[in-house]
Amino acid sequence: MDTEVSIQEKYHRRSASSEVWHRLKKNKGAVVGGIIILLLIFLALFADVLYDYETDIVAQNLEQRFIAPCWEHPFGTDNFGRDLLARVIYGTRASLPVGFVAVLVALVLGLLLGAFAGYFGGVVENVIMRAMDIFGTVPDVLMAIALIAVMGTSTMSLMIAVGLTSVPSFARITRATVLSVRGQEFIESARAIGLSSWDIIFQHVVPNCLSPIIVQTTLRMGSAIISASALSYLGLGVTPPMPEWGSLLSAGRGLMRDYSYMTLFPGLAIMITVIAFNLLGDGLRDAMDPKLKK
Amino acid sequence: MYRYVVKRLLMLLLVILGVSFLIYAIMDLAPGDPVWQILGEDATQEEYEAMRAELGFDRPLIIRYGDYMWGLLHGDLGYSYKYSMDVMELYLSRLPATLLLALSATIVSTLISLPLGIYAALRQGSWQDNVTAEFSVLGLATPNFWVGLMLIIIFSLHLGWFHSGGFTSWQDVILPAITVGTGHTALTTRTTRSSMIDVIRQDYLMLARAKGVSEKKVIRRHALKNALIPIITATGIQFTGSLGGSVITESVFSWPGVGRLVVDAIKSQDIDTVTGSIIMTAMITSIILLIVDLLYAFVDPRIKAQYNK
Repeated sequence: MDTEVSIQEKYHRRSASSEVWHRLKKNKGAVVGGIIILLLIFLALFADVLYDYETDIVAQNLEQRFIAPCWEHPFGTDNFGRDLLARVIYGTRASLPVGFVAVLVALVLGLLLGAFAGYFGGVVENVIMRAMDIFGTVPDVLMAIALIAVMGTSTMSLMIAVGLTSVPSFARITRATVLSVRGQEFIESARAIGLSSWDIIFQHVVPNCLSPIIVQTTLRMGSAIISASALSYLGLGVTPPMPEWGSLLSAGRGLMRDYSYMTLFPGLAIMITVIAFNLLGDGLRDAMDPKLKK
Repeated sequence: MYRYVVKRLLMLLLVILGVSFLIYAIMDLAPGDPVWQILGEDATQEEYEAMRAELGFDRPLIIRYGDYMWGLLHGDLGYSYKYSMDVMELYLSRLPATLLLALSATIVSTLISLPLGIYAALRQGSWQDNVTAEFSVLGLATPNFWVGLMLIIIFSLHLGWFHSGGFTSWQDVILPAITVGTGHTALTTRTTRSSMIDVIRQDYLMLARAKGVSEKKVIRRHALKNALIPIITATGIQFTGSLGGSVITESVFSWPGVGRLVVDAIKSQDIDTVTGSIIMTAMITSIILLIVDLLYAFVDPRIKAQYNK
């Protein structure tokens, strides 16, 4: 009797979402990625407890200029005598929200456009998808630069520009998944009981298309953070004195000959963050659709 | 085949019209009124209106766009106030450096990823395969321009082998090419690996081996040739990607290409140069992607047969 119950518990009492969670926990890469992301979010939330923005991040302390990495300043200090570890930690407050909002913009727009294209088909689909093709023809960085030129250089325009360049990929993925759901019987029955197209799309179609979209969202976080830091490096994103990883690199560029450590740590920070999101994204993909696993 | 090419060319024309209109319309919203830039701040409102009408800025967007495209067909992309020269001339003077960089980057990445991908595919599941996969994860996560900075620190500042920027001799292309090329290596290696794995499983390879063809020949002659299509696609996307995407690398290495031109032009609100450069780059990108698509037919007789139907 007892064994029967435990077998039942082991094999039957798991809902789809706890099944995914169970598989995700077994994926080492995804766990490591998830922990790093939680740690980064924690640092971003409590950065002002660790360091005071005015005295530690912005204020200049010219006696402490160019101290190479040591015990007191593990990442060294910059040309204004500011501790680079503190600035890199504060950088999470720029890079994480920028990546997050950018992906959110792409997700909302891409989801709407892709869902409409996939659900309605015909002319609607053609117009939306060809527009996405045209938008996608312009190289991402150039498109982002053009949009920033129009909106002016600010953190907000950086987020919107990076987000908009990712819209086509979200629209394509959503459309493809919606197409696979559209013809199924439960959609037909929803239509038969008289639900509006809007209700069908958002209550019945989209919830059944979520897994590839969640995976894409996680993976896009990484590339959004890279794009945003690249644009900030060019001086087209987050502006000083707010420390952002890309602008920290740009500040170190001119001083590389003598103080190469200034360009080392911000780059590592970007890399570790992006690896974390990619590992989690890959893990989610494998957990949500075991068939896809190579 | 002929009908297919014509159809694709017509589609290309539509895409080019769409892209150029999109860019033109976006850049039309950019701040910085060229009329004020020409007249200077002290001009009166009447002078402003007169100049605006003279330059044709009072006409509707679609008319001005038509005018712009007509100019483009005749090699006229407007005038750059920052560089005091025609935008077309300016763009063409910067294009060779960008093409050279894109080409060298593609060579670098192919030299790394083709052997690596094949090696990983042949030893699928081994530790060598896993190491290659880990490298791909690392490669996808590393910001390209940061790799450039690290290369400058190591090879130019410490070892003194190369200049840290600019384009004065042929060696100067090496570091930027490695920077852009390694950025694409992860994707091309993955594509090569999975494409090779698909082909290796096919029966005709077993037949070739059974006939006594040497393993080297089986891979080179029979497997690789059939795995080429996805690899060519990846390489084509990568080449066009470096055309528009090496903007940041060009800035890191002070490379006198189109990317740096666009960034400099944006900063000085030289809108004609930005618009013209982006439209030209997008056009070249779509033309190259079309050529890549058409190349398949020559590589793979099966695809050619499909077109001929």
